Amino acid sequence: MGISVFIIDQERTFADALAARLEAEEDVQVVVAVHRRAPAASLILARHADVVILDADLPHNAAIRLCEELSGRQDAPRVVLLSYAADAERIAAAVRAGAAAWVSKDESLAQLLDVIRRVAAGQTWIPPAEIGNVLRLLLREREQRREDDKLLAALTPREREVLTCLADGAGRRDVADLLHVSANTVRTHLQNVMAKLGVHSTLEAVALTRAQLERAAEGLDPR
Amino acid sequence: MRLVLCDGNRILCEALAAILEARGHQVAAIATTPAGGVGAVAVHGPDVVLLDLRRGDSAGGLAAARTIRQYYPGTAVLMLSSLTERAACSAARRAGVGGFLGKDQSVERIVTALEVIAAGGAVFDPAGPGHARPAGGRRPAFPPCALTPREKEVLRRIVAGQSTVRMADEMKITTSTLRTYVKNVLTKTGSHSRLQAAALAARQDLIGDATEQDLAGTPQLA
Repeated sequence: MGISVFIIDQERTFADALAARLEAEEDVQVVVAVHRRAPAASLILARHADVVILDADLPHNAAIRLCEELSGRQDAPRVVLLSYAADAERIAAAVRAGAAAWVSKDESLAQLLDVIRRVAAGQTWIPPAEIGNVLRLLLREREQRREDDKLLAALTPREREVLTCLADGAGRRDVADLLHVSANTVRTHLQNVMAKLGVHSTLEAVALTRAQLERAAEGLDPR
Repeated sequence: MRLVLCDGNRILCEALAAILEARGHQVAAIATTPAGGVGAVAVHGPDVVLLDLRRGDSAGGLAAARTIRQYYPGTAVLMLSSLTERAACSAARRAGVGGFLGKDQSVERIVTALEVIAAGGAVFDPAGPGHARPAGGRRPAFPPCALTPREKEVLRRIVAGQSTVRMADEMKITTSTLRTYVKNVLTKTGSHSRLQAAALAARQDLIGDATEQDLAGTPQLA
């Protein structure tokens, strides 16, 4: 049975040329090749492709968002990201979003074909030159998150509320109004927060906790 | 025809090469940097080279096109661009390329363009703003290469609104020589007056008024 491939690239010339070339392979069928804009996840799923070859350089980070949407679904296709770049941070973001592979556009076609066959068989592919850096980034991120969570755990619910309001752009006076407390109480909360976090300004405290507070607020992060 | 393909996207080059070879053309080399492309042209002397122009042109696609046209005039250049802005197209024209197409074109069109250019023709993206003509424009386009460099300079000065005396003075020629140039420009552009030639030149972006340095600073290419 062959591998069905869905191609998405903002450059029509490339999408067309790649489709024509892949069709020449006996074990590969191109379902469709689209250009310019990323199609909706539902549209991709409806075509039941085994592998999606996705332009990682689509504007507005569309590729990563599409990866995230697809990776949560049942019978999701395996996604190969193709990019002019191959830097560890972007690859790590792709892995996080659930991509199966990252291939740089200056690789050979033979390499791309190899990766298509690998991911169709359930394997994952990261450029070997970047694998170490990508793993380090992902591990460091996890450690960082654990430490951040510890920091946050030291704060009382009320202190977190104050920080969340400030992170949302409220002024101290607004915070007092919102939480129905006096400005002095807000100041006390903040002094305690700064002491607990070991920082010297409200700005630092907000910067340090913004990501965790957002995750906590959205309930997105069960880790 | 014999070709050299040069694009930062090697996978694109290889896919195009397979398609071109299936049509009986010969891809002598693939390069992924403009410098590599110039080298491959020097070694293989192809009929035509496909050269990519990337946003910002940090890789130097335009410079490569200029070098190839200057030192390997037997090789025509098709610029395949991820930008289709007018400035990019006119910069490529000034570099002497035989064609300029956006990467939003079909493979079929790219292949046809390569064949046309290899045969000495010119292909400029009809969809791109570089070639945009006002709706209802009846005047046929004329190839800018029909003008000599000196005539182009005269046309540029006409567009800038210079007088005959000033042009002759600055170009260090007599006014009668200058008038001959002007007459040639009018004939070649099919214009009846300097004003008409100027309008036509500006509309079709024949001369381009920006220097390379100017271009580097425009938002389209930055």
